Amino acid sequence: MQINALNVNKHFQIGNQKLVVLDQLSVNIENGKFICLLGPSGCGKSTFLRCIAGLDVPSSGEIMVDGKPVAGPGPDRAMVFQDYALFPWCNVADNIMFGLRLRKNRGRRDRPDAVVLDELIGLVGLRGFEKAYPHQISGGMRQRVGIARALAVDPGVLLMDEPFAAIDAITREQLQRQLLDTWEKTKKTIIFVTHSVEEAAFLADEVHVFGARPASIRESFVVDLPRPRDHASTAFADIASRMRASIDAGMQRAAS
Amino acid sequence: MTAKIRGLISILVFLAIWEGAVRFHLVENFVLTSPSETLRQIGHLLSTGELQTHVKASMLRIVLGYSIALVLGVVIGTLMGWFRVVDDYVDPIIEMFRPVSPLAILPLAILWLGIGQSSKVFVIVYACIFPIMLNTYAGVRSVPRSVVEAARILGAKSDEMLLKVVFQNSLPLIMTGARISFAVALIVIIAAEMVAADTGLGYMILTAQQTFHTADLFAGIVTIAVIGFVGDRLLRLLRARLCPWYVESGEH
Ligand SMILES: Nc1ncnc2c1ncn2[C@@H]1O[C@H](COP(=O)(O)OP(=O)(O)O)[C@@H](O)[C@H]1O
Ligand SMILES: [Mg+2]
Repeated sequence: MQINALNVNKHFQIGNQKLVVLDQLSVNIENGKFICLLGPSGCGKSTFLRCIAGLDVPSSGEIMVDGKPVAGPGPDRAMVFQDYALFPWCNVADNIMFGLRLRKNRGRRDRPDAVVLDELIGLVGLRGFEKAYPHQISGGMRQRVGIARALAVDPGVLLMDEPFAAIDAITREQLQRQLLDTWEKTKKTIIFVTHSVEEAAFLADEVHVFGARPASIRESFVVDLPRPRDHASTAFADIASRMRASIDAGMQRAAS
Repeated sequence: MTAKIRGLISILVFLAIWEGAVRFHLVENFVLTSPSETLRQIGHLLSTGELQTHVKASMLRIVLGYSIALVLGVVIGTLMGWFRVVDDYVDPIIEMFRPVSPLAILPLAILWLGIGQSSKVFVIVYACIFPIMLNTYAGVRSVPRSVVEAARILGAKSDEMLLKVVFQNSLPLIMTGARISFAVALIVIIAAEMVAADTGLGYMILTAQQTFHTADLFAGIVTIAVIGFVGDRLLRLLRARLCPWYVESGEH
C-alpha cells in the first residue's frame, strides 16, 4: 500500500491555546517498504500515524492511501498499539480473530477460521497459548497477539506506534527480529513509530526523522544495510550517529 | 482455608451464645427464639406449605422488578456512558430522584397502580435501577480509548461496538451492580410487604409480631438471610461464569 502525505497540518485546541503539532508535513511511502518514523517524544509521531489510520483528522493538507484520501479508520490500515489495546474479555485466539469474525458477520467468505488462526499463531509464535487471556501472558506475548490481530484482517499497511517501547530489552530484540521475518514473509508496508535510533536503524528501509514540535519531516535516511543487521558494525554505527545528529540539530533549532 | 475456618468458628460461637441465652433463660423465649427452635419452626412452616407461599410471593415480585430494572438499567446506563448528550439530559433527573427512598415512592405507587402486584414491582424496579444503571455507566466509561480504537480499525460498526466491545468490557461492573441491586431488592420488598400486602415474607413477619408468634418472626428473618446469601452466591458464580477473564483486585 502506498501512502502520500502532502502539506499535512494538525493542531489541537487546548483551552484557548492552539497547539500546533504537525506543520506542513509531506512524505511519500512506497508499497512494501519498512518505514520508521523517528523523533523525540511529544513531537507528533503518534498524531501523524493516527491521521494515516483515520483516528485523527488533519487540520489541513491531505493524506492519500493508494491514491484515495483517508476517510476514517478501516482494516486496510491495521494498527498495533503501544499499550497493546487487546480485548481483555477475549482469549488469545478470539483476540486474533476479532476482525475476521466481524467481516464474516457481514457475509464475506474467507478461509476457515481454524486455518487462518493456526497460521497466525505459528507466525507470531504463540502456539499453546490460544486459550490464555491477556492478563495471563507477558507483555511481549501480548504484543505478539496485537501483531497477529492486526495481520489477521490482511491490511495493506501495518501501523505500529512504539509497539515495543514497554517491553524489556531482551524480548524487544527478539520481537524486532521476528517482526522482520514476518515482514519478509508477508511483504506488507510497515510504518513503525519509534523514539529509538537503534531500533530505527535495525529495522527500517527508510527512516524519516521528525523535527521538534511543530514537526515536519526533518531529514530522511535510506538504510541500505543488508539484513540481519549487526548493531556492532561500523556501517550501523555510522548511520545511527547521522540520525542522532539529525535529531539533536532539530531539537537545538527548536530551543534557540 | 484458615479464613474460612475462622468464619465458621465465628458463626458457631454466635449460634451457641444465642442458643445458650434461651436455654438458660437469660432471655424470655417470648422475645427470643433459639436457633434450634427457629429451625424447627421453619420445618413446620415448610410442612404446612405456608413458608413456600410467602417466599414465592416475595420472590415473584423481586424477580419481576429485578429483571425489568436489569434491562432498563443496562440500556440506560450504556447509552449514558456512551453518548454524551444522553448523559447531559438524563443525569440531572437521576440525581434528582436518587436521594428519594423507594419507600417514599411506595405510597405514590399504590395511589397510581393500586394495592396489587404492580405497585410493589414498581418500587423494586425503582430501587434496583440505580445501582445497575450507575455501575453500567462506570463500566462503559472505563473502556480504554485504545481498545475502542482497535475495534474501530478492525471494522466494528456502532452496533458491534456497543454489543461486542462496550458491553463485554462493562460486564464485570454490570454484575457488581446486579449483586448490589439484589440485596436492595430484598430489603425493599420486605418493607413494601409490611405496608401493603397480604402475602410475602414482609407480611408474614409483621403478622407474626402482631399476633405474638415470635417463632414465626424468627423463621421469617432466617429465611430472608438464607435467600440473600444464596442469591448473592449465585450472582457471584454467574459473574465468574460470564467473565472468566476478570481478575478482581479485592474480593469481598
Ligand atoms: N487529542 C489531543 N488533544 C490535545 N493535545 C494532543 C492530543 N493528542 C496529542 N496531543 C499533543 O500533541 C503533541 C504530540 O503528541 P504525539 O503525537 O503523541 O507525540 P509523539 O507520539 O511523537 O510522542 C503532544 O504535545 C501532545 O500532548
Ligand atoms: Mg507517541
